[in-house]
Amino acid sequence: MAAFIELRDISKSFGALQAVQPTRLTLEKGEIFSLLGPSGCGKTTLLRILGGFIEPDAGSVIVEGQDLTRQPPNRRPINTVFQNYALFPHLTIRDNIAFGLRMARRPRAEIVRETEAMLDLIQMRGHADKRPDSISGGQKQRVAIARALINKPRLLLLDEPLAALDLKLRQHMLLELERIHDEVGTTFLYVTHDQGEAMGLSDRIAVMNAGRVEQVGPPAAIYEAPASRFVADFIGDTNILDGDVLERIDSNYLRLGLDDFGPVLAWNDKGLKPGDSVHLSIRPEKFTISRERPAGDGQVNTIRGRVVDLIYLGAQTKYRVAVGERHLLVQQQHQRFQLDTRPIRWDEDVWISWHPDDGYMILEQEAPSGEAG
Amino acid sequence: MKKSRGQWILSVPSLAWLLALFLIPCLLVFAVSFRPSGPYGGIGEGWTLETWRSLTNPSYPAIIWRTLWLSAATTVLCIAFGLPVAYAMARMSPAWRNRMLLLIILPFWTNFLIRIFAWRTLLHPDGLIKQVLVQLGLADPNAQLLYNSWAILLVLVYSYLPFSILPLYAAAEKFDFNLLDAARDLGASRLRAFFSVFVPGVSAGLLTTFLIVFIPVLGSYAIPDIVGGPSSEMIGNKIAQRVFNDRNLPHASALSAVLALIVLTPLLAGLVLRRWRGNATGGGRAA
Ligand SMILES: Nc1ncnc2c1ncn2[C@@H]1O[C@H](COP(=O)(O)OP(=O)(O)OP(=O)(O)O)[C@@H](O)[C@H]1O
Ligand SMILES: [Mg+2]
Repeated sequence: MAAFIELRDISKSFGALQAVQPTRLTLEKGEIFSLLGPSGCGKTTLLRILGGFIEPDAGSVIVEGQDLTRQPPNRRPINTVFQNYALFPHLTIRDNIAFGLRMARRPRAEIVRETEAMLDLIQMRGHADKRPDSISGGQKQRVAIARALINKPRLLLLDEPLAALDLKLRQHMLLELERIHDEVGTTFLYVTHDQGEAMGLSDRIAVMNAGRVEQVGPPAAIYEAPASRFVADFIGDTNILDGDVLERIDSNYLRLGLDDFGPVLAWNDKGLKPGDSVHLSIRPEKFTISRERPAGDGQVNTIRGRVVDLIYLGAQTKYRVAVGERHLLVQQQHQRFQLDTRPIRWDEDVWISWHPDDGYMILEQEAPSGEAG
Repeated sequence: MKKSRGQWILSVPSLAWLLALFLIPCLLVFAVSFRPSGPYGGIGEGWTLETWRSLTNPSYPAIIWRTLWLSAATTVLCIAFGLPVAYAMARMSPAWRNRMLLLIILPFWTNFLIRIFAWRTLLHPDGLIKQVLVQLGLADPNAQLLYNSWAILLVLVYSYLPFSILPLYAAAEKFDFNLLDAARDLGASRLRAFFSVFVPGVSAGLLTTFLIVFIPVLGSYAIPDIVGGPSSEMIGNKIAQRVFNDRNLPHASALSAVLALIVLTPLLAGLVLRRWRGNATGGGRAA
């Protein structure tokens, strides 16, 4: 079956700068799909290509089997929530929301009915006669969403919609967005450089870097099984240790020789052979830190180090542990009340340990931009 | 809106200036129209309604009507030509904007009267424009391009176009062009986006243009005097004639008062309307 929305090998350059490398992506009907990446990686460019504001150098935009690449924005069943809202200052909230239906020359009764329904959806009925300059940022945000949804687009594009809001409001609007998505069921393409937003909101995430899509997948896969060193680094905190495969132990595990830490066990999900070089990514919370060497039947990896820094955060403590020349980031959740145990302090010698399944191996390879296939 | 006392004090000098140099002279002109004219061009003793009665002279309604439509047409054409120029300039790179601004201001380096006389030469039966039009078969060899209302309209639009482009450009420069993208995104064609979002977006510039084109054109007299004829006089010509030829100051004053009323009535109406609308939408804008 053909994909609901498809970007086929889209690329775009501005002069010498390749803003979007040839990229292919597919969106499924009704999902919230996020484009996540650092500033300047080409998210907005990709979004504007979908909206019809930028023509790609190559490739095509397919919506429900129809090629829309050459269609102007007003002929696409795609609407946008702009980064700075772009509400019309000369129109009331109600008229802003009704704008799309007016342009489509819908019958008057329908315009009134649909607009009122949208006002209810975003809970702004009481502000319908105000103008955009006399409502708050969060309210503008909601109006921009309602205005973009009123024409029942196949796809809603949101370009960093929460960037201008303060933290508290951002969290509230995130829930609000989920609620609206649940009610209308439209496919959302959500652009952000905030991994928290993307992880919390999305069904799937595409992580972008320098015009390339490095990985596409559900939040947990992106976090637990990063496809590249960049993804591992960009999403959350991690420790990346370089090394080579020493030997295969069985079909599931192999022994790695880490450059700075000696041999450790790792889960061989990639079928590697001795001699292959890899990066091992271990998230700080996967480590266990202890004074005594953890008892293990050789199935647990252990490294000796010294605490050089620690931050107590209540629910958890973050440690920086020096192992030779390297520093490792370790994070411990406090499961039990620990006042009766003696907490680990600065300059103490400690053991850090982790289960082989908790280290994830990343290969140094150039994956094609976007999804495989 | 409540102004603080400090703000009032700040506006005292400008208010005094307006009072002494604008309002009082206007009232004096208005008052003179109720005095009889003196035999040698002066102002007579006593008060009379004679001058105002003589304004019922059947030639006046036609002149007032012509003045009004020429002013309105000039304003509309200046806006129609000025809007796209302002739009284009606001989208240009800063370097090109400055070049365009220079080009628009360039005509002011030549004296206004000289430029109008140049038009007279161009439109003259032996002039360049006439010759070219005849050669192209677009004009009859006997057609008269000069000394009519169309010639006046042409030169009025020519003269006032920069005065419309500049305020429209100033407004367009502040316009958020993302709004046009938003309109296009919501289904507006380029043209509809222009009219439903850009034009309201530069409404401040439109109002300024109206004020600095329509009102001066109402009182213009050099242009109709030079490129117009006896059958295409505007009210400004009549006022000048009453002052310089007939030396009848009360009559000239009455005509000036009529002109002032023509200007003031729509302005006051607009002001009242705005107040009223502002109150009607009430809560909306914090007034
Ligand atoms: N019209 C343009 N002309 C030239 N370069 C451009 C243009 N638009 C974008 N770029 C460049 O293309 C690259 C990608 O820009 P884009 O706006 O897509 O980034 P982004 O991922 O949206 O970043 P941000 O998170 O800062 O919004 C940037 O290096 C930017 O400078
Ligand atoms: Mg962007």
